[in-house]
Amino acid sequence: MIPLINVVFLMLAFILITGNIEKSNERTPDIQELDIPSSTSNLDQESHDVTVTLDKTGAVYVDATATTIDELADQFPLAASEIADAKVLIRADATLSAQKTREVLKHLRDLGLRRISLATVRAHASN
Amino acid sequence: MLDLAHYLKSKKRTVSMVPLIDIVFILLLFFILTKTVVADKQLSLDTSKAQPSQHKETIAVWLENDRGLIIIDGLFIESANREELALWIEQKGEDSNYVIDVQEDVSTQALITLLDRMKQANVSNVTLELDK
Repeated sequence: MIPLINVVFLMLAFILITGNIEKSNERTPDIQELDIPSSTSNLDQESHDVTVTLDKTGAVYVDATATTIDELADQFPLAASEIADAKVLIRADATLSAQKTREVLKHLRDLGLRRISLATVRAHASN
Repeated sequence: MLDLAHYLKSKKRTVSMVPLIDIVFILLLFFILTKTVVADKQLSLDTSKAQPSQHKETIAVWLENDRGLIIIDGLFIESANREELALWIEQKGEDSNYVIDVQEDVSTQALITLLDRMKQANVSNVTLELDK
C-alpha cells in the first residue's frame, strides 16, 4: 500500500507543478516561439503590468492582443494616470532587428513609460 | 544449507515497477523545476532623452554589426574585446553619458550584448538613441 501512496502523491505533485508552469507560460497561439536574448544581467524578472512581445517576424503583441507599432499607443491597455508608475516588459526575439526594438521603445517612451525592461535569459560572462 | 540453495533457485525473480516509477517521477520533477529556475532575467533600460550636461560629456556609440564592432568618436573598437573596450571607456570617462545608436541590420541580441559590455566596463550612464 505504501509504494502506491508514494506514486499517487508524486503524480499529484507533478500535475500541480506542471499545471502552474503551463499557466505562467500562457501565450496566444499566434505568437511564434521566441528566442529570448541572453545577457549577463542577474536581475530576476519582476512582476510587470504590461508585456509587449515582438516575435521574429516583427509582429507586435500587447499582452495577448496583436497590434502594430503605429497602433501601439492606441492599443495600450493602461490609462494615462497609470502609465507613470507602470512596469513594462519587452519580450523581443534575439534575431529581431534592433531597429524594430528601438522603434517600440520610442513609442513606449513617448507614451510616458519610464520603467521598461527587456526580457533576457542568463548567459555566462565571456570575453 | 541445501534448503537455502533450493529456495533461492526456486524463487521467481521479478523487477518491482513501483520504485522505478518513483525514481522516474522524481527525476522528471527535478528537471522541470530546474529548467524554470534557470530562465527569466531582465535588463532595465534607460530610455530617457539624453540631457546635455555641462559636467558630463555625451559620447555617441555606433553599433555597426552583430559581431560587436562599435564606433566611438570615429574610432573602431571590437566590443567583444573586453580589455580594449575598457581601455577606451577609461580614456573617455566612466561617468560620461554614452548614447548608443545602431546600424539597420543589427540584431536585438547584439544590442543587448553591447549594453552588457558597457555595464561590465563600469559605465553608469548608457541610453539608447531613440529620436532618429
